[in-house]
Amino acid sequence: MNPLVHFFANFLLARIVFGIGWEYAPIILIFSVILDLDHIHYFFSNFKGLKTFTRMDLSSRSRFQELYGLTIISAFASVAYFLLNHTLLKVIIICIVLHFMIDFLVGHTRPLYPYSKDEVFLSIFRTLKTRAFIEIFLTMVLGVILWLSFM
Amino acid sequence: MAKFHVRKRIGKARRRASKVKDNVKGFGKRQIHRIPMPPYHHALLSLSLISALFAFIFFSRSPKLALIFLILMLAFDLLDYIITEKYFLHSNSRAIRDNMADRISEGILFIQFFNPWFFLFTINCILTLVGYIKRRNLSIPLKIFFVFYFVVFYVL
Repeated sequence: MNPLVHFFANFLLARIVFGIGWEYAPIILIFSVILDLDHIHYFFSNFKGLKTFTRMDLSSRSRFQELYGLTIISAFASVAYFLLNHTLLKVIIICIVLHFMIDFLVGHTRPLYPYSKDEVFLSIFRTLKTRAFIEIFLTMVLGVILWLSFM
Repeated sequence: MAKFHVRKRIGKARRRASKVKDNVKGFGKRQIHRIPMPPYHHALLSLSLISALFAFIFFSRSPKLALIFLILMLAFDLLDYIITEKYFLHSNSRAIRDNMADRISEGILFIQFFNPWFFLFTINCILTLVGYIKRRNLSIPLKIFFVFYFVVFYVL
C-alpha cells in the first residue's frame, strides 16, 4: 500500500482509540513509513521506469517487514515500555503493527523470511487493476474521514 | 522378572492410551468432514484480522461489543481450520500464513493490555521463529487465553 494509506489509517485508528490530535502527526508519519524505507534500495537498483512502482518484486521487502522485524520491534517496545510515555509508545506500535497488517492483507509477503522463502498471499485483490482501485479508494476515503474527524 | 511384567503393563497402558487418543482425534476429524462447508476460504483470515481490529477499537468504549468481535475473530479462525481439514488444504505456506495472521492479530489486541500481554506476544513471536527453525509448533494460543482473561476481568 502507498504511504498515504498507511498514514491515514494509522492516524485515524490512533485518534479513535486514544483521542490524539495533530501533535502526534509527525511521529505517526515517521513510523507509518519507516518500514518501507527498505524499498528505496530496491528502486535504485532495479529502476525500470513506471514498472518499478507497479510491479514491485518480493525482493524489495527486507526481513524487517516480516515476522523477524515484528519480533525485533516488539522486543524493543517491551523495553521501551519502562522508559517512554505509554500513549506515545502505543501510538508507535499501532503504526507498526497496522503497517504489517495492511501489507499482509493486501500484498504478497514472505512472513518467515530469511528462514523460509515461502510466499503468502490472501488472494483478496488478485489483479493489478483491483488493487490500484482499492488503493486510490482507500486513500481518498481514509483522508476524508480523517479530515472530517478534525472538523 | 517383576520388572519385566511392570514394563509390559506400562507398555500396554500406553498403547491403550494412544489408541483412545487416536480414536478421539479420528472422531473429531470425521465430524469435521460431515460439516457442510464451501471450499471458499480466502477471506476468512482477513475477516478474522479485521474483527481483531474492531475489538481493539471497542476495548475502552464498549467491552461487550469488543467481546462480540473477539468471538467473531475466533469463529473465523475456526472456520478456516475446518475448511483446511475438510478439503485437505494443508501446506507449508498455509501454516506460515496462519502463524503470521495469529501474530498480527495478537499484536493489535495486546497494545491496549501491554502489561503482561504484549510481553507474552513478544515471547510468542520468538517462539514462532524458533519453532520454524526447529520444525516444531512452539507458539502459544495466546488469543484464546486472552479472550478468557477479557471475559473474566472486563466483561463479567
